[in-house]
Amino acid sequence: MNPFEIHGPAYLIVYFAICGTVFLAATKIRNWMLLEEAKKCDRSGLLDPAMAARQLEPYEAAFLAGGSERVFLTACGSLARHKLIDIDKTTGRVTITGRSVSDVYGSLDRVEKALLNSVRGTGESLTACNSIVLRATSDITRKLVASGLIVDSSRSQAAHILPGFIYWLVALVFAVPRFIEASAAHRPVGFLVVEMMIALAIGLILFKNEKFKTAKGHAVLKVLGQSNSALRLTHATNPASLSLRDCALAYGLFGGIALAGDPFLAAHSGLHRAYASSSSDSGGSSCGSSCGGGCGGGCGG
Amino acid sequence: MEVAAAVDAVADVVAKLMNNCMNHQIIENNKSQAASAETQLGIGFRPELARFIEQQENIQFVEIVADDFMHIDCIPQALRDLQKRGVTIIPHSLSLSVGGAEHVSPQRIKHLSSLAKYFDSPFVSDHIAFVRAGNIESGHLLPVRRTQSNLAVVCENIESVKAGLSVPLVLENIACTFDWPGNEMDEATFITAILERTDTRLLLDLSNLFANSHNLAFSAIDYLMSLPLERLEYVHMAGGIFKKGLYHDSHCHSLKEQSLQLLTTLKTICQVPRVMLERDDSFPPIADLISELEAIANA
Repeated sequence: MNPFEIHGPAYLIVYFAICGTVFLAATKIRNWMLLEEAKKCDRSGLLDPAMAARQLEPYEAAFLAGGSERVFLTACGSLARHKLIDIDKTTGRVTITGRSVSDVYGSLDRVEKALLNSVRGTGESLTACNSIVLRATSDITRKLVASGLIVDSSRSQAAHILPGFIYWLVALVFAVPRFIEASAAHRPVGFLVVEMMIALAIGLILFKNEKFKTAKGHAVLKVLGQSNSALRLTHATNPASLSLRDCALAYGLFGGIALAGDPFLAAHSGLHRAYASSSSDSGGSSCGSSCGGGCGGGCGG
Repeated sequence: MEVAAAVDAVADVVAKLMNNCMNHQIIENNKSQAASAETQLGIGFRPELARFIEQQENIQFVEIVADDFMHIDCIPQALRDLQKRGVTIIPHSLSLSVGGAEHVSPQRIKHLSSLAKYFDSPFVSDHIAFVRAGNIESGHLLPVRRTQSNLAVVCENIESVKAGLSVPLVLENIACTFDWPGNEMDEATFITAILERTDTRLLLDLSNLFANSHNLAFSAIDYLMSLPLERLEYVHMAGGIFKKGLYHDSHCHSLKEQSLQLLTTLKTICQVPRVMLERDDSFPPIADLISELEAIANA
């Protein structure tokens, strides 16, 4: 098909149809390359999702379910539920409560310890706490990548660059000659410039670094959800009865679901509001920002 | 007159002695039977306790409120997981209303039967009570007036339930803070007559028995001794609270020593196949729940 024989709106439609098709194909190629890379990275030797699920600690499950944002919210939720920290629902300031930490400190996860250690004196903002907790998640990321559960696209340069360039090439090949021809004929080219910019901007998505779940990661998360049905029920109805570890696993897997009338609910919704504003100030977390706040649900895979 | 009174008194003492001897014989016979079989431990399944139940390896059966699972789709995975683990699931209904004047709804029987089939339950249970009249739901288990005519009605209703079930029906004594006027027999006699006429088994709620014996002032031991305990299928234990002289079987307070004593007595009288804890609200710390389960198991 010769695109130069098509004019006006018909050309725009054909151009975006071609770009859309190539974009989808490039995404498929990118995901295939990343998954192949993930298979190479998987050193766990565990093919059975149920076995792999049993190897995960609560904060690793939280990362798998919702990225670093979920890890941070899980730590906040669990420690607040066990009255080890207070979160001011209006200012989003985190403070240590009067409850003695020393008797439980030894049993805390390193993420929880990082959060507690980040809060000093009169308290700390959620943004500051988040950046400290984020550093404690690097080990989690490494383990999940090594287990073949998530893909870290920054580890595969080819998958990170090649599909994006293919897409850009196609977008330019179908637009630049047309632009040259129109310029030579002294026809208006404004719309051509705009369509090219839009097409190229969409292509940036293919260059983005992101951590997303592999098929194995999805399967493990499904197993975790199913095998913790009892935890989910109790988390939704009687969360105060859960141990700190169970509390973290429940928050990590299912997020903050609590009964209306539960005093923690207000603080929790305040936490989400405060977190949303703090993460928009600081540019957001590495994973949450790519998936509209619900990283676990819809990315890649 | 004095001689006649003295004869009556002696006859009374002899009767009591003979009764005690017979009871002692029963106790001795049953002690050896009780030793031969272990009592299974259970708990009422509630979402609030789901994680706790999952973590208790000594729980051998759970009772579910059948009315909470009106569709099979509503059954949580947690229950299926328990079943896979070998935990027996017993559907317990609150709404058959076998003590009511109306016929029992076929839909309710069908639902109970479908739950029993789904969970491969050995039996299902409900109460000797009525919960509705003239299409008005009482929202509470109400006692039946213990007359011969009501006995016939209750038995007819139970037969209709049994006809619609593929597993046996087990019936429970309820707690009440009042008695209807014009009762023709005591509760133990009424229950015994129902169980024997309909050939059904007994779910004995010892906390309900304690509540009634306290509130209506009768001997719980005499009541126990009057029941056909060979029909005992399982036992309910629950906590309650004393308020203004009455004992309320609230299911949201700690287990009372008096109920535990009744369980200890019952275990010396007969074999108790299963015993379970009911807790419906104000859930205590896990350590307290474990203590209550241990107390029941060791009673």
